[in-house]
Amino acid sequence: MARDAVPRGALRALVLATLAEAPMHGYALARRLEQRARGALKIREGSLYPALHELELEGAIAPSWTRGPDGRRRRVYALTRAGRRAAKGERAEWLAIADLLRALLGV
Amino acid sequence: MQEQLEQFVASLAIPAERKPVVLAELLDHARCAMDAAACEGGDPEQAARAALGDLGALRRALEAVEPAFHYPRARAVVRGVIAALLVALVIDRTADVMADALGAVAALAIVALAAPPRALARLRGELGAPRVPGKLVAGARIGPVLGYALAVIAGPPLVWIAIIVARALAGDLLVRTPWSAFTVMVAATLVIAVELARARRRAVA
Repeated sequence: MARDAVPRGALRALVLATLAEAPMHGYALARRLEQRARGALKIREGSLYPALHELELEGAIAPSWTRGPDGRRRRVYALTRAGRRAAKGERAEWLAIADLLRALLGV
Repeated sequence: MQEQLEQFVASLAIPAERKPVVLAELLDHARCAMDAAACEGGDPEQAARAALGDLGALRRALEAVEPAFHYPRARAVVRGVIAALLVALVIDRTADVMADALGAVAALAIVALAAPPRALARLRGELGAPRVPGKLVAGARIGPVLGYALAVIAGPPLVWIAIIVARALAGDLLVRTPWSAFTVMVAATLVIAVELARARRRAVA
């Protein structure tokens, strides 16, 4: 069953990690994450775009306008240098949390 | 779907300049979901509604984040005018006592310190935004950072012209032009030109 809510900090880390692979627009980013989660996660606009805009405000990602296949305007996000640093830090932090939880839960 | 999204975005309590950005993103997201559903034989309208999710939650989240983007153009231009005045006076008053290089560094420092927050990121956003049609050609909308840049580019020469005229009227006809006088103009124009070229390259890609 798909989870609708991703913890805010976790979504931020997931967005940074995905954008570290290639620049992409919001829909592609959401689908990439959902495919990775093999249906266990549903990314909603309500959490995705505010998270992207927060990262943009922090200077971790930079948007640029392009055109979609049918000519519609599309906003593509790419990691900045600061964003690459943040992505590494977030990844290390969440992996440490995951290890800790595994240990605490006796997995 | 488009009409529903337009009404939704119009009703959001977010800065006016952010509404076209939010609307374009939500429309693109919904249309991508519709295209995917059409390819898979599903119901496009239902797919778009599912992709949009809870509009109430989206409203709350956007209204919490978007106001941080707002920076009034008038405030940026006022900062630009103050920076331009300072640059003009520093270059004029210190040309005799400070080497040109120091004057140039001082002028650039003033412009950098007085710039709006996240100036480079904002400039990229302004230059990368869809062009607006003008009477002759379409061009970039002059947002806060472009307004600031234009003020610091055009301001100092205007001040110097006024100083030269005032001194000439007082009988001082000697005009010395240190090369540091051109530093801010050249630097700001270069930054805009480079970012404009990058924005166009991204748009073509």
